[in-house]
Amino acid sequence: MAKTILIVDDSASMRQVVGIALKGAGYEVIEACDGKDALSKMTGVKIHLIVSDINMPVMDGITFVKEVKQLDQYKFTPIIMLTTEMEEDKKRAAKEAGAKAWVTKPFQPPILLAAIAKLVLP
Amino acid sequence: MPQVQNNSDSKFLYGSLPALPIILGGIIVIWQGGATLSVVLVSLLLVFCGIGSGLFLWHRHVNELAQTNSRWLQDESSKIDAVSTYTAELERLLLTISPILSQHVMVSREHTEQEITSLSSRFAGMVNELQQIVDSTDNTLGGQHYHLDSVIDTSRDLLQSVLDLLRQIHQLEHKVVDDATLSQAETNINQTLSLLSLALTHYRSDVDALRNNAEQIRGEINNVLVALQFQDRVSQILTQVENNLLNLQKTIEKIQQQGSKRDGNMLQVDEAVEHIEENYKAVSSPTNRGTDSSDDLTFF
Repeated sequence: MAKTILIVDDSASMRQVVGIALKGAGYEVIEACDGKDALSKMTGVKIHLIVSDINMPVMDGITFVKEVKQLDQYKFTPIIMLTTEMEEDKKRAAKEAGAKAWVTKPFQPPILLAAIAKLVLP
Repeated sequence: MPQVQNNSDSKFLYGSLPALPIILGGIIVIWQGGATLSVVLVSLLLVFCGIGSGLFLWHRHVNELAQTNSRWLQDESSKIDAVSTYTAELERLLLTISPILSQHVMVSREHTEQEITSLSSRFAGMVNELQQIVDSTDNTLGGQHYHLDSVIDTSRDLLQSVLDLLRQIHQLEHKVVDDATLSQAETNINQTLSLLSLALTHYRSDVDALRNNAEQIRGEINNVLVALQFQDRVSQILTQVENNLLNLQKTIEKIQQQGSKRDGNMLQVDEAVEHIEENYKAVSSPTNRGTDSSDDLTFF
């Protein structure tokens, strides 16, 4: 059975790019445009991994990670931050919030897929 | 303030005023020394003429100063008016240009995003089809490869057993089958096996070539995905430009609303520039990074 990955990014084209890479590798994809939208879309759905941007309107990526970690159903769901940010402070904040990996945009699909393969539970 | 005009009248005035008490003192000495009243009166008259002349010059000098001040005030006022007019023109220009620029940037951004979305959609469809072709090619080639291998092995086994059987018959039935027939059969079988082996070799190289092509297609797909991300970056930068233009327009309108109550701190240039720099840094910094992919992925 295919694993389901939630993509959270305010850019529609970026969601499409990530979606193409993930679908090509056999994953099922759910898309959300910000943290709040993601929280509403993931309710009751089995999510195996989350790929989230940081700079988003309404609810940013770090806040979203913190919110996810408060939910019993998803507190162990691995989260990868996919962002243009490179500042160590932001990385530290993401790590403290509970993210498992950090991938910098523009990303090479094999690198993202390698990170996902390592984090998705069998 | 303007410099006091250094003309000869003022020099004379400033030079002669301190001398007045000395002149008066001299007249008194002359009078006490026995000079006649007429001489003293003439002297006094001359002194008062000098004083009158000095006062006249003083008055003229004060008038000149007042005129100079007035001219200076007029000059400064006209300069301030010119600067105000220039500023107002600049504001008018910016207010005229800003909406047009915003409009163009917005249209460009929307156009870019539409293109990216359209390109991504078309590419997504293409990728799906390519992926299916690559997968089915892989599966088909893998299956056929296995199938052909088993066919050739089975054929070889069958032919080998036929050869063995023929040899046994030949030995048991004392040359029921003559040597030439047996030899010909063996040669035919070996030739068939060689042809099959050659076909298999060609088939294997074709499979490898197709697999390489599939890998190249995957590589190209990845390159396009990275290129699409840069296009998305362009769209983000255009969004920032659009926002900055709208903010500029709002700032100018706010300044204009203040009218004569404007002050120097209304436009906080440093803060605005810093904000703009931060915005652009956020969207442009990764393009400046090196090719080292070790920065691309960090596990916590």
